[in-house]
Amino acid sequence: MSKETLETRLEQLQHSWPGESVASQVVQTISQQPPIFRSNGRSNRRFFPWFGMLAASVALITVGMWMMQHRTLQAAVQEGLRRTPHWHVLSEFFIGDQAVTGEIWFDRDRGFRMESMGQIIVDNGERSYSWSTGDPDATVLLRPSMDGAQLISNLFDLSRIPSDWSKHRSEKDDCEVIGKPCRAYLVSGPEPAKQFLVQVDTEDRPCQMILQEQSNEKWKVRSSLTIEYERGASDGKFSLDIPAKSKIIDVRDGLEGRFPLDKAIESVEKDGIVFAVHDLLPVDQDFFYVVSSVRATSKSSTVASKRLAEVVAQESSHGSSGYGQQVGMFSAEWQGVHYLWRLIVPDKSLQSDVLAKTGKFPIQLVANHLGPNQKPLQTRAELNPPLKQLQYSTLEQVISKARTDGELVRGLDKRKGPLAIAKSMSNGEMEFTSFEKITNEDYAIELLKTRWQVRTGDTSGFALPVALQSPKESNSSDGIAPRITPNAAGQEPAPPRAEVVLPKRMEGQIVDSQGDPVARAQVTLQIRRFSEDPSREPGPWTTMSDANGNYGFSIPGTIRPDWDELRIRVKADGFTDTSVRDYMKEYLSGKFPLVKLLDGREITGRFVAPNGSPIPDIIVRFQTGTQDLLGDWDSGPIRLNEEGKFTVSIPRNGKTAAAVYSKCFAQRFLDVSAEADQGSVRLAAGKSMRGRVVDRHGIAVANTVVQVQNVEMRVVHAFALVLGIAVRTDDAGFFQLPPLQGNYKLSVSNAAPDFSRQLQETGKMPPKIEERKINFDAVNPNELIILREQK
Amino acid sequence: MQTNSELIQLVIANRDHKAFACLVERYERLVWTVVWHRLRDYHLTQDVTQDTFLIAHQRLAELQNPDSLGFWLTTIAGREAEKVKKLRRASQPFTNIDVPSTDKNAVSEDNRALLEAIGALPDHEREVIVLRYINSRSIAEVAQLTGRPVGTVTKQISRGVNRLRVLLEKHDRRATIPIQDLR
Repeated sequence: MSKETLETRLEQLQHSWPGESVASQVVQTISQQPPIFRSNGRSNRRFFPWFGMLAASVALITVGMWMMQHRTLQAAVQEGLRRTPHWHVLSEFFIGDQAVTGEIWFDRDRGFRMESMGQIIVDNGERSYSWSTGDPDATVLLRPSMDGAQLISNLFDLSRIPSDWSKHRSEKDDCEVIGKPCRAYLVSGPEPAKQFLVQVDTEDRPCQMILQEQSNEKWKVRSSLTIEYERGASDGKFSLDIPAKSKIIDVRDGLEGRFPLDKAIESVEKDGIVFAVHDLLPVDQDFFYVVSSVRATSKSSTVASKRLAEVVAQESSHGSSGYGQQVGMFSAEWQGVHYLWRLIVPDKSLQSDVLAKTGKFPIQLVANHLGPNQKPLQTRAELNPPLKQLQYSTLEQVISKARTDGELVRGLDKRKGPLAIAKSMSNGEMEFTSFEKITNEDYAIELLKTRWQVRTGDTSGFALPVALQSPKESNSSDGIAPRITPNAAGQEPAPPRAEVVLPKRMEGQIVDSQGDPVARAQVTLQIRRFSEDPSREPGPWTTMSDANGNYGFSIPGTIRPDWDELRIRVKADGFTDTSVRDYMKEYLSGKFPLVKLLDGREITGRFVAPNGSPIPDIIVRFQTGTQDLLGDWDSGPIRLNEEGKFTVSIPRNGKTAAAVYSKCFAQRFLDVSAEADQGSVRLAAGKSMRGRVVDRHGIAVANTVVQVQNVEMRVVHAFALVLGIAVRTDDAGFFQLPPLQGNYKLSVSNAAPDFSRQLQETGKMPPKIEERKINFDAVNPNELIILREQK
Repeated sequence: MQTNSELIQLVIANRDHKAFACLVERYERLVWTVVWHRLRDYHLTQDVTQDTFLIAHQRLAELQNPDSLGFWLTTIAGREAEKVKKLRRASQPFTNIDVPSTDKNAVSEDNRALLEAIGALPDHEREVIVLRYINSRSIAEVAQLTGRPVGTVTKQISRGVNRLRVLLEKHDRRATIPIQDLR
């Protein structure tokens, strides 16, 4: 190799450097590192709003108009606090009979710390950090501090104090509060069931307030607030002891700070609505991660005869985006702007026609809003951000971005609830897994599986449409996928399914990738109806294409587009087998049934045991991916004959891999080589183990589902092959695993896909059981795997 | 071009994040190469590269000779990568159906061979090769950044290039041997 050649290669490496710059992430992290709290000598009376919420939880429900030396109680407390450089507040209120306590330490120069209800807030007067206790991976929210005066106003909200309450001196209730003698006053209103006991110290500072409610002629404490003036706290109370592995999310600038309109990749105004695309990332050269927003303009508010209402939502759903499929991840509304995170899987026409020719990615945005006369309107716009200079990302990277954004959304609005992965189960119900409980990798696998099904239409009994969303919003009107389907109990009546009458004669053509007709191709048509017994599904019908590639079927009956799949299988010499392609969409749009075949090559081989003997009952699924995505192909599950032999026509181009499932030997991946004869592929004996699922008391959990999934996956461009099984526990909680080899993770749930059998195993909902990883190469097969409920 | 010494001074004295970003941009490819050579996993490499600079930021004041910044970062990166490698070994023992990691998607075959060769260079040669060819620095700039005389840098680059050629030729010879299937 010459020096010039090497330098050229180095130059190429420089221009196609595989790593992404970490500079911005590093700077972002170091800029969020906690500041060292130092006394700067200046008065610091900035508080955190949650402090107000906590204290207000006592005060708002208790405090009546308290005139004390012509002052309100609020004024008295304010004055007492401001005179004091440091203080400590202890609050207590009862939920039922359970007491919930909270503490606040305040130091004029160092800020304050609040601990209550599993939440910690540390505020240094400039920034506030809050996080949940007990979780080393907790997210820490960084917020701005709040002005002290406003806090006090919240603390003793005069507007909510009944004006007809009055105070009485109650000498019999005089007592010491934290070692200080106090005078007691009773405050009560016309309603005798409540009274308020206030202890005032020798300096006229209220130091204790107790709300009492009468129950069975006895006074019961409902809440209390005790202020300990002039009590200092150790430095440790004001140190930022955030959890070790936590991530800091800055929510100070809200979503506008995260996605400023003036920095949008592209924006357009139409009919008073501004549509913007803020983030567009090609993922693994396969699909696109898009963050968009819609908002009403101020111009529309003034020009329109009646004020244009703020945008209600962007539209998204599982389904067509005009140029392909899309998966809504989650949405958020912030200050009148509606944001939407989604993944778009472009169809091949977009890939080959639009993207290649224009270098732009068309994104359709839809805004639902109220127009004049409060009439609901829908405005659409198409944006065409350029693809140039976009860096390709991995799915894990964009999921990480989405997760960070999701945490920001939660930080802005706690009502959003935990983000979750939603899976529709076979019984029509939804199952949610908290986003915090699933790794980026697992989520990527779920998404890849979803896309796999979208592309092939092969749900094979395990439909897993996946979306990120707030469970609380799952049936909201903003159209964020997935929709909740009615469950078996049927709280909502199932909408009638539309039926389409099939024409008596359906004719089509088989062509090759160049569009030339393919003669003598065997064409099989089947209507897959998942809601019914497979034996009752219509079809299959088989015919041969003529010299012009034309074929035709005479099939009476109806199809239900929402439920059925229209599958065509074509076998022709020199081409790939099409086996699991769903043509329902093409049929409904009038394009059916033109079938394009990929140039194929036939491969053969057989699976054998370690001793070389043939293995029966094997299911194998081949998948091919190409760099340009135009040659993606999926064989669907193929059951092999008793000798374990396979003969299949796979695409000539691209990489092909297979997942191999056997009942008696360890399942494995197979990378298909360039040779026609793949030879004898050995399956390892593996180790077969038995296990048991028990609750925290050791009692068996029967009829629940144990999912066993390989921690690795084989990614072939667009596809991800997964090895995994699902077994159900018996009445004594025992389960038996088939032979396995390598690293698997075991989880327990009420439903899980069994890839080896190509179905969804369902069972009873188990208690919360921690996921467990097992290396089957290193285990003793005689041991019992115990999966126990978390304490 | 601001020297390492000037940028480090700004970071330590003024908590200047932009200055630190300059240092990151200056050395991140060198660090990436070192980490990738040990882990050969795209995502882990990205993570460890980031961690290396976070550690460096915390301990920047401990660096006595700013000209040794590249070497210092290389040492941190190597140590962090080894830690991750040990953890990975512990959690994922080798099996005969070992699955390649997804870095195949991110690193082309040509670049992979070249990166492996760069990673195999001695530290002092790797630093000058990356600064010269991957960061497009002039010989004078490389000399300034490393604190080495121009003549020394020229010799080290020349030796590094020769070593890379040998390593790549070896790799190309190996690549012509058909890879056995997993049967």
